[in-house]
Amino acid sequence: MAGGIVLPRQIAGSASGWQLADYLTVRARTDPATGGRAVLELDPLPGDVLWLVDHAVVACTSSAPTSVRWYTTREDPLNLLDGSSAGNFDVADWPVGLQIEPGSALVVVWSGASDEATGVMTAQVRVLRRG
Amino acid sequence: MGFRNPITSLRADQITGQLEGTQIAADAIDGKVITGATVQTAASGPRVALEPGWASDVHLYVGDAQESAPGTVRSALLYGGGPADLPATQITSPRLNGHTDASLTLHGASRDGSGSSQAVVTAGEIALNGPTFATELTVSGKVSAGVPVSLTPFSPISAVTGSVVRIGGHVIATLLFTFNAPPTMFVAFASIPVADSPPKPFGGFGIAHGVARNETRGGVGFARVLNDGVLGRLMLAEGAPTILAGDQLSFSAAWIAN
Repeated sequence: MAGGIVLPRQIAGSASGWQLADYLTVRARTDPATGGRAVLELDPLPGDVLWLVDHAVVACTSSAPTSVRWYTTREDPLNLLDGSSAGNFDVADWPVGLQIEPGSALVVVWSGASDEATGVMTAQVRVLRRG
Repeated sequence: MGFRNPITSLRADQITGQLEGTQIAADAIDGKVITGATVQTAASGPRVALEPGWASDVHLYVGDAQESAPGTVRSALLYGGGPADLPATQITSPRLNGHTDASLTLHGASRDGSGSSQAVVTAGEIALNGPTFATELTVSGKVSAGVPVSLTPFSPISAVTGSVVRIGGHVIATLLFTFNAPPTMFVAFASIPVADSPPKPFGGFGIAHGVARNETRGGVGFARVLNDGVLGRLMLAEGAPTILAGDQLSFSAAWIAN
């Protein structure tokens, strides 16, 4: 490589390769809460799809105050995306979009919920597909 | 931006300006504890105020321009810092520039028992004002027990009434003599019982003064009180008024008991 010139090259999967494919409204409801928890697990995204969540509303029918946490793929502090201490009702906006990576799933967990309470989540999503 | 989490607390460093709201909900502080704030019923003039720096005071302002200190209700330990402290509540009048105030101090007994409970009135004058002129002061207990005087009338005195009050080591007697003959000088022997058992003799002597009720005939007379063991002796001395039959003469005298 001595004396050689390294030219930049496009890496497959970079942002420049993503094209806006659709606008989506995602609506989902949890099963009744047990042990204070109501958990929502969406299906994993395909490997060539990226979500940018622009707006979301969370609500819970719990009679007790709840908090809510958003994770990617699994409930792990390292996977935290966002959260609210007002899980019974809160609204979120992400001006540049909250990113859900290809192959990952959105997991939403309510804590402190009364028994049989259900959580709902509605999100407005830009769907990007790899070009 | 994300979720709009409600604000659950604000640290001091999160407020760089000031909160300028002028209203809070009527029940916003119900049941809450406010510490170290000024709470007052008016910004100036007559008012009741709780003020920082006066942790155990309630200040009562009259709003006078010359008011140098407000009226105060205060609780404190008198003498500060030991088992002999007296737990006290003091009510003090407002004070104007260059003038004095009055106070009433009520304190309980000290922790070590060295001081008993006490009420102390500090004032230029103490007045009892009631619905009628003849306001009664009713007292009970050792300090101010009134002891009726039992005296034997003798010529020229037809009747003697009065009472004796002991205050600490002092004995104060008020006696009323009624004359049935005009004496030029009289000597009254008074056996004055006191509550102590056995009775203490009176020592030393005091000055008594008498005032004839009919001032056209009398005037102010003076008597010496001579020590006579358990018998007090009242004797009119210089300045004795002219006394006629039917006159009444009152005496007030003070003895210092041995």
